[in-house]
Amino acid sequence: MASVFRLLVDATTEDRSDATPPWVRSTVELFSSFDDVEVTLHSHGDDADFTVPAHAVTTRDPSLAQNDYPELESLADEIVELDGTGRFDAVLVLSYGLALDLANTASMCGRLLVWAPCLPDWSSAEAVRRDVISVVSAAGCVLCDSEDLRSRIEYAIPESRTLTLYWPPEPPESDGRRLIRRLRPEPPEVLRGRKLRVVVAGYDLKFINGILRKLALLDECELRVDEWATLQTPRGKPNVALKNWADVVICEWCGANAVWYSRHKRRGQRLIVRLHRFEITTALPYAVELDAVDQLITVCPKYQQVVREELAGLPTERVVMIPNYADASTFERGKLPGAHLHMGMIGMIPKLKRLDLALDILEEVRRRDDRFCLFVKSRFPSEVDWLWKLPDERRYFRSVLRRVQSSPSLEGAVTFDPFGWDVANWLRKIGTVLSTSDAEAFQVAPLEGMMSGSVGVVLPWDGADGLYPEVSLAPDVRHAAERILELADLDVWASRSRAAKKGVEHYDLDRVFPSWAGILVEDRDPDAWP
Amino acid sequence: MGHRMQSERGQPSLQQLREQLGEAEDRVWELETKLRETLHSTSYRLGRNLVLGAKSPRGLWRLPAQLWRLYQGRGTREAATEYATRPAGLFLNYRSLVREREGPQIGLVASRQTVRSLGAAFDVVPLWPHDANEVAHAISPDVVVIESGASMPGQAWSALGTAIEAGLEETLVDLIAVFGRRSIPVLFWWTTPFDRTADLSRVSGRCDFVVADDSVPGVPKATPLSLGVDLAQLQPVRPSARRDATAPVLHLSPYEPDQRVAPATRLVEAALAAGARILYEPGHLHAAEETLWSRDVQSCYQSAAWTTPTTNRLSHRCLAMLGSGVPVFACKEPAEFGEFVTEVPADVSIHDAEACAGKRLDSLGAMAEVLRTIHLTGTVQNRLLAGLRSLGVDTGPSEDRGLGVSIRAGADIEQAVGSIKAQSIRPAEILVDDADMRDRLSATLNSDIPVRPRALGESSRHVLWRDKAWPKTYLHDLLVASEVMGTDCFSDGDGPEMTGAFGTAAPKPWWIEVPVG
Repeated sequence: MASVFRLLVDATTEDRSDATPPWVRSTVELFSSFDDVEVTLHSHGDDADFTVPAHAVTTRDPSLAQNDYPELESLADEIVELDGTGRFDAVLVLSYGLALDLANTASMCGRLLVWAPCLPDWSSAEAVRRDVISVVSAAGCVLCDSEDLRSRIEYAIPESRTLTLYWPPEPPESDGRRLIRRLRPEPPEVLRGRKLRVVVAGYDLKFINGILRKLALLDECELRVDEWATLQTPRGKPNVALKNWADVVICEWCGANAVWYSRHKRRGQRLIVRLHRFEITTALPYAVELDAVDQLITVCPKYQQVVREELAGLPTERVVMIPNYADASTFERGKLPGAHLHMGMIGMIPKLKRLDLALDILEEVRRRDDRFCLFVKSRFPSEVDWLWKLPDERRYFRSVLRRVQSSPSLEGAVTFDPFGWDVANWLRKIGTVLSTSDAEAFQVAPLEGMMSGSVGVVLPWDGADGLYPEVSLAPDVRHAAERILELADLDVWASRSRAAKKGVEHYDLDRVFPSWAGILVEDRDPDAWP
Repeated sequence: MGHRMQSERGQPSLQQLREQLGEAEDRVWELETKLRETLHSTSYRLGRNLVLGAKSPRGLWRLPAQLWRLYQGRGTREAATEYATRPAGLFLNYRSLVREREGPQIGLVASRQTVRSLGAAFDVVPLWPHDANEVAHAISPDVVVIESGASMPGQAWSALGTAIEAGLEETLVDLIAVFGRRSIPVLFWWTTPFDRTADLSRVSGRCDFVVADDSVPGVPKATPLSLGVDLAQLQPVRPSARRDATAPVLHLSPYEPDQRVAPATRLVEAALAAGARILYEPGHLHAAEETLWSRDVQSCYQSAAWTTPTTNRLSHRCLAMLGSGVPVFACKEPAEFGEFVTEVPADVSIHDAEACAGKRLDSLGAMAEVLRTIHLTGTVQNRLLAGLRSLGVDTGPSEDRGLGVSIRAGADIEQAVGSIKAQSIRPAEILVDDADMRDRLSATLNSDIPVRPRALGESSRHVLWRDKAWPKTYLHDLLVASEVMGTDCFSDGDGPEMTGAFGTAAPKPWWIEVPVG
């Protein structure tokens, strides 16, 4: 039986009006309709037009007139006091001033829900921007009344990785459920009643961040991160204290982190290593003390097989699969008009991403319909020092980039967008997402694209089949171009977009997370795959 | 089989050239790497500090601290990527960066179709989001055109103006600033329905002038363009003809009081260069008039005049100037404009708006023609520039030039000074022949424009200039046209004043004197 989710809604608006904003009404009504949510409405003054739902608790005092509103500071104190009497899972505020006060209250961090329209214009003054950043950073979620506002917040406040959600005037039940799951993930059955100390060790944690965010919100887990500088080197010395503290260690990437933790594993400790792809081409996995590894996670069937063959000392049943994931609530956003004519490629380095094949497809498409164009969101090769030192890579990119500027059919049709974490936002203008790599384990880019509603076009790199929806696989450049040309018809595109979304819904973070939670305490079925 | 790579004429094949280029680039990269390593090596930095420190007592005083910092930072590789990385644009747009100009050049932020269409008539440098900034610093176009159609689906600047691509807007604003600093006019061309691209008004408001095709629905005539020219409403003005009150020549859209003056000034200059003679201002100026117009523009335009519907205080002066052929800027409501024009004596010649007049921008071709016209109205300057070059004068890059104005005995000092102040972009200096003139100027100027005696050698070379097509050209016309065109300008010194203006490159190896008559 799931515990009750306790939500406090403070209805104080910036103008201290007695009237409850329609948006608050619908939100309170929505959450009050959930059996497992207890809503407390905190307000002053009387709003005769709004009948608080029977299931909701209200603290409002009708005898107080508008002028009797307490000052913001004491209002914040009231809320903190209320929170002290029965800790809320989330506190929703509509007033920026109040949000600012609460953001500075450490106990509220991560539980604050901020109504984005209340945020002031942060472009005018740096001081205002700093305050807005502190509010957004302290928030568990920022609710936006439009996708545009959501985008503006994400663009203008890149420091904040806080979850943003589009929250319509009449939010559907699914949105409410999703928000609750984000703020307080349901602990999987296997974790109930436990108290696990989990250390995640590795460099570049971008592929596991979503999982970590959810783990961190579980009462059953205490999470600490041992961040390594590179695949080969820790930051400073390896953290012995953390190693001794942990019940479970997750090594993200099978690098020197896995080698060290496998050699220093303490008795009774559980060691989980995740290997993506390229590590197997290095010497590091072969230096891992395989006996110490309880579970080695691969992200696709192909690399499960490769690892079993390469690391023969590791019992095959310990090599399991958990797929990559994408957070649907982040990627599901409306597309911009005309997106169906835009192809997108995320990441063009190193050369095995095969930008040249993407150009082949684009040329083929534009021979028949020159409305199509390609956007590439990536670091530029010359910006990556180690890559630019490799003569092969340099030659390859020089020739491909020369082709971009010299091919008449590509003129003005290829745009390089800056690398950044705002992929979900960027995908709003992308109708088709390309995957042209020579080799991947489980490329996240097409997954994110399809989850956003872009149609996937995946050239058949080894292992791609079985990962993505069948319809997204194209045997060669010509077929890929044919498929893309069909998307010029908006109806066709819309239907393929829906199919793509449906085809990857099992990779949603919410669906993949239980596998991660489970593997923390028990061995996974080696053949299990979503 | 190497000989197969050699073509029949003995020319290297494309493949060979590619290989050579690749090798050369590899070599450059290696040298850059070595340079980087050298520059960041401790021995180089130590030696450099010692040499610089020993050059002066102050350097010597600082030396111990520098050496201590060097010691503390030993082993580090500061700014190691400074030479390792190159801007993306160098790879993507090197053709734009290395080729020679071919006639009038336009920097273009536009749809691919427009790039192609204008490319047929002009030397076009397309500016794409990923390389616009690098290319902008490397070219000196005559004009930069930003077309709203660039933001439409299927275009590189797609989603410009939307929240998801706020970065694009920033890129464009930076771009406008880059060209603005170099006095290169930026024109915003509205070709898309306004309601679909209204957010672009944030960009258009920063441009020097805005062109709206009147076939485009919804572009507001009054708001929210903060500054614009509706070229679609251009109408010809016949000499001595009664003007149609409802058909203004140029439409200067509302001018916001807090807007800086420079765009308006440059707009007027652009209009002048485009051949316009009368500007219509729809009456939104009154609030700002006292603070902006009277202080800056009015004082600048001693050789032109403004009139407003509220005061008409300049009308008489306008008329007087019309009589002397000075262009007039009329800030009147259309209805009043008619009355105003009737006041013009029949024998006064209002200049033909021959350049752009009557052109309707209903096609790309027409747009191209207007842009060409804008350029060609500078033929005087172009010819002068050519003349200079034929004398072997290196006219240099326009941004390096200052302006020298020679003022001789008999000149109308006030008018000359007003003309000099009219251009606020280039540094100016005044050259005089004698001390008396210098004193008179110093008393009048009350500004920081330097005055110096003209050296003898500065009059040793000159270009004669007469232009039958434009017989009465004034110092101010030339100055403003010069600024718009980015070329040097000169005056014929017509009338009682004896002034001559010339571009001065630094150092100033030459000067031009244009004889009267």
